[in-house]
Amino acid sequence: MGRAKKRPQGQVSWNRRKTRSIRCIFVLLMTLLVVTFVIGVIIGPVSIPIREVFSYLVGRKAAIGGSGHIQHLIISQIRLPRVLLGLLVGCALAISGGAMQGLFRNPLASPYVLGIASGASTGASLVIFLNLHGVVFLPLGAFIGGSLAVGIVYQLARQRDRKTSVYTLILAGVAVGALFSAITSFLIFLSAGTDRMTDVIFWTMGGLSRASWTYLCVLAPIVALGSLLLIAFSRDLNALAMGEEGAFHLGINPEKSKRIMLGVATFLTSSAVGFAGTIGFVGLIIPHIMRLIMGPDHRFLLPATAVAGAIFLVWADMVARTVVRPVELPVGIITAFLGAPFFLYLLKTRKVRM
Amino acid sequence: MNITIEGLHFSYDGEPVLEEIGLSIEKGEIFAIVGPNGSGKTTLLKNISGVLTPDRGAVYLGMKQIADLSTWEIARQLAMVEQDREVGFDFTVREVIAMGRIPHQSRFARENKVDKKRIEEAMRVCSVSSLANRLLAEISGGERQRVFLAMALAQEPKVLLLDEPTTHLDINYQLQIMEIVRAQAIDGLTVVMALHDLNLVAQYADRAAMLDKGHLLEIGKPDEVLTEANIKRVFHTDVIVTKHPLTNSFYVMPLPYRFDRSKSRSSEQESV
Repeated sequence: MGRAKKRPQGQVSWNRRKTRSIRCIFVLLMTLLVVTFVIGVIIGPVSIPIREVFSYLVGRKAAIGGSGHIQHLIISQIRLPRVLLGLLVGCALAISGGAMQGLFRNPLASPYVLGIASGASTGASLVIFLNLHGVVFLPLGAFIGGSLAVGIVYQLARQRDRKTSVYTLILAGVAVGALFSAITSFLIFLSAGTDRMTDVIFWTMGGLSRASWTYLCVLAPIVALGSLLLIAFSRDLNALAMGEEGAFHLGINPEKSKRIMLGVATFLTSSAVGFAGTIGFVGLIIPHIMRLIMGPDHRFLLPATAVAGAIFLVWADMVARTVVRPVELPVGIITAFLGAPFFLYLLKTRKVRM
Repeated sequence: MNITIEGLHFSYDGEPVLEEIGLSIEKGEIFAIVGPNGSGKTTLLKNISGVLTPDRGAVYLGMKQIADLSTWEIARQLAMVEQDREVGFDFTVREVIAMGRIPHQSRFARENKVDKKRIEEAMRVCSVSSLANRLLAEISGGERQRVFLAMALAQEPKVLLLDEPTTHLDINYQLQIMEIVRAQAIDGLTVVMALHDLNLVAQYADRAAMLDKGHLLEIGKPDEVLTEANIKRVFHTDVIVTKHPLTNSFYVMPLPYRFDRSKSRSSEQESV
């Protein structure tokens, strides 16, 4: 009797403990975010003392012509936009990856694996190739390319056996991704020897070096709105873990939720690709690691994934711009170096759920 | 809440699966759907739950036609325990059961006192409280099924649908599930379930319907439906249906193929 009475109490304390540990993770993540932000501004070819960073951040003006003035210029025109772009792109890629893994009930699903990134990169390349530069056309072209890719992949995977089979999905993603990469390569080939070639090549490798305040002004609202929308649907993702019929019985319209979330995730990924090129594997590793740390409840997982993705990409970019100084590596190379082995590890150890 | 089905027809890709089904199920009743594999039991349940929409005819939950209700409105009244449900990701038992509260929560709401109470109540009723922190993937099939039942009960449904809830379970787990369901029905829950095990139907169902290739063959009390003649006709199997001397409820005993029925009957008569 005594034991039976104690049980519910243990229950309550377990819940409190869990809430507390989740709160701890969020506090830790936010602290890391701030630290990352500051370090990201400090580190670079020209070292900037932390004192100057803070003096800039609190809005103090430096004397014109002094070393402080140049440092402030570097901060405002180069470092700050770059770090902020890294945060936004990392956030967008990670949270859409988290949403897609939830949608397809599989830790292998990600914007890269499903061909969205390749499609978006083809779209962006085509925009560059046609000389339609500009902050509106790039994300738009990327979005059209990305939606086309994911649309084809999704339809292929559905028609085979009504339910979306994960294996078909990933295979179709690889095939469609390869097709779009081929189109991009063809565009590179056609524009050989021109400025546009370097532009297109840059986009296929991914990097944050072209950050500017104009980019940020377009990307920031997209990422903020998209992330909030996905977080608003995190409850639907939890229900979808019970399968489509399971979700239906919990009052969720599975087709509608899936279509909305896939659309938002595609738009987020495409916009990120439009401004920073294809940066692979962020959307694969980060949600997976966060799920290991805090469990699969998407209401906590998605916000944590967004912050962790932002932190991760800024660090990857710091590595990219310092590892072979003075040359700067495209950050996509760094994330792929970390992500591809991780993907193989997942394939090897985790049972892939159908 | 009572359920009424009128003139229901349903087909998959032009292939008729259910034809001219008419039923009415009372509040607090345990209603069993029996029939061989492929007779349309699951399809009928899915038509009742709103997952599938009938080609013709209608299903009413209380006074309202289910086709007119939104997914959310259905989920607030009706819960379903599916057969072989696969859950993605490593959720804990409590997290899964807490999902039963989704139809009662607004999009951003956190678990409130009522939710907590219902979840703990459902866990207690299904005796899964001690499993709360375990991962769903770690527990046994019998425990798993009780967890899904607890999730359905946390949903506070007025109608509970169960699709073969006892398949693959050991006999003790089968009885546990049926006892929980019966206790809920006594409290007014309307229960509709597809069941393989005719003896469980005999023991627990108030009424039963026998499906034969998508047609309703018979509706009535279990002893009216589970007759030797009906079972022979639908399952093509010889059985003996007798009253159990101890429990006084009847039971169905399949006869092996080698058993020569005519002989046994005659010997019985001789002894009388």
